Amino acid sequence: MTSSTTDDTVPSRLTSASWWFRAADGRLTLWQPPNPALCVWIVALVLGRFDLSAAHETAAEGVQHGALIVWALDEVVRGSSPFRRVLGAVVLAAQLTSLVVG
Amino acid sequence: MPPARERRLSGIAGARALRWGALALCVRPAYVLTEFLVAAATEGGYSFLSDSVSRLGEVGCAADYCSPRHALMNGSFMVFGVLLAVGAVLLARTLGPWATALLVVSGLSSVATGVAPLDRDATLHAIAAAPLFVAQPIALIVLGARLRKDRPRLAGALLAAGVVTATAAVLFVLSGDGPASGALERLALWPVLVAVAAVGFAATRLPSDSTGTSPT
Repeated sequence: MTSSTTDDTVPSRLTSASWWFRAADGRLTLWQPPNPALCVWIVALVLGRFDLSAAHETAAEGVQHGALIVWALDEVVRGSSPFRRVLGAVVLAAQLTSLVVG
Repeated sequence: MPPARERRLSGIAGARALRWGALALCVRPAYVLTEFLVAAATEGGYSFLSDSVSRLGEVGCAADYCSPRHALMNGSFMVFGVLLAVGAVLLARTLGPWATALLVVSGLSSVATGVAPLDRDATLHAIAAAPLFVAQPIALIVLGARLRKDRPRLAGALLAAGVVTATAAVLFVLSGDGPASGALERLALWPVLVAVAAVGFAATRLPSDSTGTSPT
């Protein structure tokens, strides 16, 4: 026989920091080492700070957008905690908006 | 169709795809020849050390420089890009989803580079080529990590090639029109041709669902 507790209800889960920040296996997943997409974004961000030609500067900006979109999609689809998925969705929305608005 | 016959036909189709995919990747080092063929016909002087590969594909001619075989160069960007994308798709079960996707992106980027010559629109050309310089080194590193158990020596070479090409790509962007920009660009591109060809050759001897773990 199974029984449900009040902890499993949606309102109590939404107010639970543990539910937001912990992965299914109980690990705290607020911060993890950068994955490849985030590494590319960081490198492109640093490259963009240098004195580049106009074409290379535009390409570096494009790579920054692309890398963040890939990272955000990865987080939305495979994020290890609800916080990471929400963060991915926010970053994805921000990147798409900045691309559309320019 | 009986299940046994269906499995056998599926296996034959898989083996055929593996062979064609491996062939597509193994012929790609020939791309280097096209660079030499095109450079040999340039007028006004072309340096492999200081001039970018993209200059070979410039459509227009100036008083001090012309690349009469630009169509061959731009065509080779497209043909060898298609070979990379198609080869990666055909070897997807061996390469894994991440490396396959990265190599397909690289192949499409190469095709786009051939469509957008440098002297027509430098910014569009840079945007078209950027994924190639980003995705290829990562693909090599991903492949190296994936094959480290089954093919440790190849995996080590792939990881080293990935690090070298990534570093060269960053330095190429930083160098701008510097005296070594052509050499840096080629250091970012040429090793990938050999490394991916080696993967294509090895793919015919690897388990099709290689995940980096030895079969039990």
